[in-house]
Amino acid sequence: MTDYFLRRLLLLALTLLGGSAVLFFAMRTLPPRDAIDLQVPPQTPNAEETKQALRRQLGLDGPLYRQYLDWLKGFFTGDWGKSLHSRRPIVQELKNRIPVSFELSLIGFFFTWALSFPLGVLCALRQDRLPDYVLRSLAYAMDALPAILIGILLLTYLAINFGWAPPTTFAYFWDDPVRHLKIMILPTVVIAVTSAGNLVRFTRTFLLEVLRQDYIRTARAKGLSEQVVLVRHALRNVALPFITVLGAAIPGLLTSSVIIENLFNLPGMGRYTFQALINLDYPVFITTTMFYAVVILTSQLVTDLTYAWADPRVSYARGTP
Amino acid sequence: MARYEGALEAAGLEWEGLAPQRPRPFPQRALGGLAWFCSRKPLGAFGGVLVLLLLLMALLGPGLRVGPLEVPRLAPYHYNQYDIARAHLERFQSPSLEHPMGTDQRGRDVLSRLLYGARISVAIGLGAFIISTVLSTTLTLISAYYVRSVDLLLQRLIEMFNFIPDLLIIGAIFAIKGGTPLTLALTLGVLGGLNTGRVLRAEVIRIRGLPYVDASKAMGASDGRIIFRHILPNVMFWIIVSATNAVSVAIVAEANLAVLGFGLDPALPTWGNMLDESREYVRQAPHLAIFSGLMVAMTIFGFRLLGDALRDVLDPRLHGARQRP
Repeated sequence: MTDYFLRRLLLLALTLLGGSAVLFFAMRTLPPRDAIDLQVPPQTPNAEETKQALRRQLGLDGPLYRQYLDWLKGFFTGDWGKSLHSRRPIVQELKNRIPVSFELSLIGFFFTWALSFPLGVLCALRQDRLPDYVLRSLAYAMDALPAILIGILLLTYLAINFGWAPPTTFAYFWDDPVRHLKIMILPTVVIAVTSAGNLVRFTRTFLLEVLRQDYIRTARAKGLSEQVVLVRHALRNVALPFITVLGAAIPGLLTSSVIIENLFNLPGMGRYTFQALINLDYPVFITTTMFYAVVILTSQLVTDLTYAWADPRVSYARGTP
Repeated sequence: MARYEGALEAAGLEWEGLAPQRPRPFPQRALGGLAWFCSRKPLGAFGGVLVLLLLLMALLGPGLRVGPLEVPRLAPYHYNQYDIARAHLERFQSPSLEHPMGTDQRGRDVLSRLLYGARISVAIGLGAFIISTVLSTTLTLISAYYVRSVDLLLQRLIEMFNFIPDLLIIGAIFAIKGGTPLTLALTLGVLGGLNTGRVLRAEVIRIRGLPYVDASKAMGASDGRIIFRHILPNVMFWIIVSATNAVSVAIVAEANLAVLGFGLDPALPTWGNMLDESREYVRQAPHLAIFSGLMVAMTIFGFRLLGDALRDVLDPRLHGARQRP
C-alpha cells in the first residue's frame, strides 16, 4: 500500500512537471499578443521600449527556460508572479477567491450527493414501477437542462413571485455570514440540480447489480429483514463504485462551478481565470490552470486510495497497476 | 426425403427441414431490428425520434440546395431579418401565430433563429465526432496493439492534457486563435478523441488477452485480420455511443463558452449566443431564455436517451442481460 502510494505520488509529480512545461511554453510562445500589448497603444512614443521596460519589471524577459524554472520555483514557494493586467501579485488576488470556489464546489458536491443517492436507491428498490419511471425521467431531464436556464429561471421567478433576490454585493463568510449564505444558496442548488441526474442513474444501476448477487439472496434466505439486507449488505457494496464515480465527477464539478460563478457574479477562481483570458493575462491563466490541475490530480489520487482502503479485495501489490 | 414430400403435401405441410434458409432481405432485417429496438427500449426510441427531429431541423430549417434540387427553407424568416424602423414595436413579442416562439430584442423571429442555430450545432457536433473517431480509433489501434514505446509516450502525453479541464483548454485556444465554429469542432474533436481513446485502449488491451485472439493468432491470422475482424467489432459500440455524445457535448460547450464571454461570432444565431443574450432581457421576455434553453435541453435529452439505449443493446458484455425482464 505504501509502495503503491509512493509510486502514484511520483507519477503525479512527473505528470505535473511535464504538464506544466507544456502549458507554460505553449502559453508563452503561441499567443500573438498579451495584456501588455493591449495596455500600451501603438501610437505612444517609444511604444516598444515602454513594453520592454514593463516586461522586465514583471519578470518576462530573459530566456524562456529560465523563466520557466523561476516560475516553477515560485509556484511551490508561494510566489506566483504578477498579473499583467492589474500588476498586482497573483497570490494576493487569488487569496480571497480560492475559498469561494472551494466552498461552492464542496457544498455543491454535498448537495449533489444528498440529492442523488437517496433518489437512486429509491429508483432501484422500485425498479420498473411508477416511482422509478418518474424519477429516472426526472434524472434525464435534470441532466439535460442547461445550468444557465435553471439559474436564470430561478433568479427571475424567485424575484417576481416571492420578491426574494440574493444580495447584489458579495460578502465573505467571515464578514457577514447571513448575507454570505443568502448569496451562496442558489448557486449550490443549481450545481446540485444539474449534476445529480447522472449520479441518480449510476446509483440505480449499481444497486440493481448488487441486489442480484448471491450474497443478497443468502441474506434474505437467512430471514433477515429487507431493511437489514439493504443497509448492511447492499448499500455497503454500492458505496464502492459510488466512490469512483464521485471522484470522476470532481473535474466536472470544478468546470460547472466556473460557469456558475459567471452566472451569479461570484468572485471565484473560475471567473478570475476567464477574466484573465479575456484580458490576455497569460501568467494568471498558467498559474490558475496549474492550481486546478493540482486539485484534480490530488482528488484522483485520494479517490483511488479511498477505493483501496474501502475494498478489501483490491490489493495494490507490485505488478498490478 | 423425396418419399415423404408427397405425404407432407397431402397433409398440407411444407418441408423446410433441410432447405437452406435464405437470409431475409436487408430492408426487412433493418425494419425488424428497429421494431425490436422500439419495443425493447421505448425511452431510447423516443430519444431517437427527438434526435431525428433535430437532424431534420438542421437539414431543412435553413433550406437546402443539392445541385438542381432546391428545398425551400422551413424557417418562416431569415435568421437576421428585422425592420430597423419598426424594431422598437416588434421586439419582445410573446408567442403568436405569426411568430410561434415570439421575437427577440430586435424583433427577429426566435423560431427561425433556433432553426438556423440547429444547423450550426449539428455541424460542429458531427465535425467533432468525425475527428474524434478517426483520432481515437487510429491512436488506440496503433498504440494498444503494436508498439509499447509509442503507447507509453502517448499515454503520458494524454494524461498531461487530461488533468486540465476541457473548458479551460478551449477557452485558451479561443483567446489565442479566436472562436470560430471550425476551431470549436477541431478542439472538441481532438479532446474527445483523446478521451475516447483512453477508454478504447483499455478495452482493446482487455480483448487482446482473450483466448479467441490467441486462437486466431495460432491459426496464422495476420495482425490486420485480428484487428479488423476480432477487435474492432467488439469496441464498435463505444464509437457509436460516443457519436451520440458528440453533438450534445458540442452544444453544451458552445453554450458554456458563450456565458463565459468566449462565444462564437455574436452575429451567428447559435443556441449558446441566444441563451447568453436572453439573460439580459429575462424580465421583459422570459420566452427568449425558455425556448432556447428548452431547445438545448430537448436535444441533450434525446441524445442521452438514445445513447444509453444503444449502449445497453450493443455492448457485447451486456448481451446476457438482454433477455432479462
